[in-house]
Amino acid sequence: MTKRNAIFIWIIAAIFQLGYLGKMIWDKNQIFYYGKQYKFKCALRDPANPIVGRYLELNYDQICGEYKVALDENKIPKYAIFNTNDSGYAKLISLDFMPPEKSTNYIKLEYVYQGYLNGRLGNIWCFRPPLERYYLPEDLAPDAEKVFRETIINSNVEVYTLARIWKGDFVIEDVLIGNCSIKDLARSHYKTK
Amino acid sequence: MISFKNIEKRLEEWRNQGFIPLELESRILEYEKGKKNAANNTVFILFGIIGSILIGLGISLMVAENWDHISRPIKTILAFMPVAIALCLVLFTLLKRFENDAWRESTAAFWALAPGASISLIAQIYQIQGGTDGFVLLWVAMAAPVMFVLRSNAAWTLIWLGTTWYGVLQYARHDIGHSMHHYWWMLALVLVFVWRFVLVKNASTLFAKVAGYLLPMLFIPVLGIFGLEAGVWTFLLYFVLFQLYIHFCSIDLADFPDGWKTGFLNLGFSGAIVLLFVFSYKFSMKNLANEFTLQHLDKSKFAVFEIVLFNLIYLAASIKLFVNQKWNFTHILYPIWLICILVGKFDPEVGQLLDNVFILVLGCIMIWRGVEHLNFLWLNAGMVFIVLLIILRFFDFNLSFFIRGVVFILLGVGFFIGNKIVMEQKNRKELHD
Repeated sequence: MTKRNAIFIWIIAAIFQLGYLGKMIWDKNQIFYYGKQYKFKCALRDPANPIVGRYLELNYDQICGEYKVALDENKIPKYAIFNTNDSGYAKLISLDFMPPEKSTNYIKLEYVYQGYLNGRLGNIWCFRPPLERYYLPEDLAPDAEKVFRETIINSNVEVYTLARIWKGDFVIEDVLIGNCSIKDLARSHYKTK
Repeated sequence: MISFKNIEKRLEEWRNQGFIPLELESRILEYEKGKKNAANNTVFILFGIIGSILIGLGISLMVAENWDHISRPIKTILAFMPVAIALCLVLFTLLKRFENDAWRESTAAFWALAPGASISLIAQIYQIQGGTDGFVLLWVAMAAPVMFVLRSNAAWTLIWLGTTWYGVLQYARHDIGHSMHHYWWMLALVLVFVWRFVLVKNASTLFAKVAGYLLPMLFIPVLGIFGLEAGVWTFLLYFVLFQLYIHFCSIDLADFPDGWKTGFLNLGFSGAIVLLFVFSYKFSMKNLANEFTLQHLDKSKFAVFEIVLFNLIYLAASIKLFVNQKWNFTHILYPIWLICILVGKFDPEVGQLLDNVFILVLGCIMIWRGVEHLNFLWLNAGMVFIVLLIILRFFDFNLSFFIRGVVFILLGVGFFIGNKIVMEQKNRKELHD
């Protein structure tokens, strides 16, 4: 490969690398700006990833909904359309095979499985919200898990993920215990040690 | 090894004694100086690559710390830094240091790792979800141009690692619907680089030898993907693959560089031996040989296609070797293993016995070849096979400690005697020559 060709590929690679990174940021900022806020009840634990850092693994109860077309046409629903209840928690409105045209309040699902209705596999399809990771500073993550464990043992305070949803994608804004950010609670727990 | 200074001194002494003329002394010195410079350059390149990889990984680890006290816009700007710095360094290398191998390889290693650090940082800032496979895929896609722009072996090795890693991750999650289609273009890029910059250029470098090992290793973890639904037929797929690696080393497909094929031969032979040992157990032969049924193959059409294709290639390659009179015992490992399995399907005990006898014979042939060709590797490998076989069979049979002790002493003595005979013959041959 000549130096001229190498510089040509370098230009394409530079545009691709910087452009893709920029697009990742742009897409998420769009959700911050246009997305609707939802609460999802969650439980959490603190694993560590040597590449991407420390995060909280968020677990949710399964959400199930009816989708009649699935069995007839062998189509598995891929999109979940949400609304909120009075407390701001996400409430499943419907499931769809195609992205809905009239709403922007939906997320694209990766894993959907068939649920049971009256003891038999039916037109019920279930999933867990794919908001699985909440990145935290290295020193706070273990304390966040401790705060969570202490909270659920001693009280009935609700633990939930606050996320914005827009056109199939989402962004996690915070994880809260009661009305306090888990980051703040973990920080005060860390300071009292 | 004699140092350059010592050579210089020795040559001066010989010239003063009148053994060599001045012209010969300067020619030898020039030759030795060239060798010294080449060695220094290789060391410099290696340390440059290691340094760049350490810096790149260091940035990734610092990123993983997740600085909470920095605002989001500042963090976002910082997220671009690894890639931006790498791009500037690479442009400088392209314009000013393109012929300097150390510069090229070091900046390439740094550039290859930089997108990974940037992706991690953005994932943290914007809480982007997704598993490690998604991260590796994006990283390889971003880092792949590096090896072509800078013709970098270090970048190729990193991309090779990423591709294998992705293949293994997808393999592990294949049952929950993860497709492999991204793996194929990653694999194609890795192969294109080797073809373009190693094979076509016939580069007999250290890298060619390393690539000779890395390339066959690339196919080993992902071959099982097609066997997932084919059950035990996967063992057969692996055995044919290992046998094809051995065949590949004996066939002159093209004018490949020296040392390139050694990796294929060593990996192919080792893999075949491991599988032979797996089926030397009564348990394996009894439970696995029975599973070789057509019912298991019905589930995976691609596995059937692969088995047929591999076997046809094996047959064609075997015929070519036979016609060219390059046939040796390493080329029949697969059919003999197949016979053991077929017999084991009807009578596991006989099948197991056949497999054990085959390993024993193989060990003996290797010892014989080692003695005949005065090759310590063959000799000792053959003896290790026999020792390993005996140790493994000790677990199956209830032998007394006395007998076990005697066998071990005999084997130990055999090792000494075998090596001594070969050493003496080698010395005698050298003296004779």
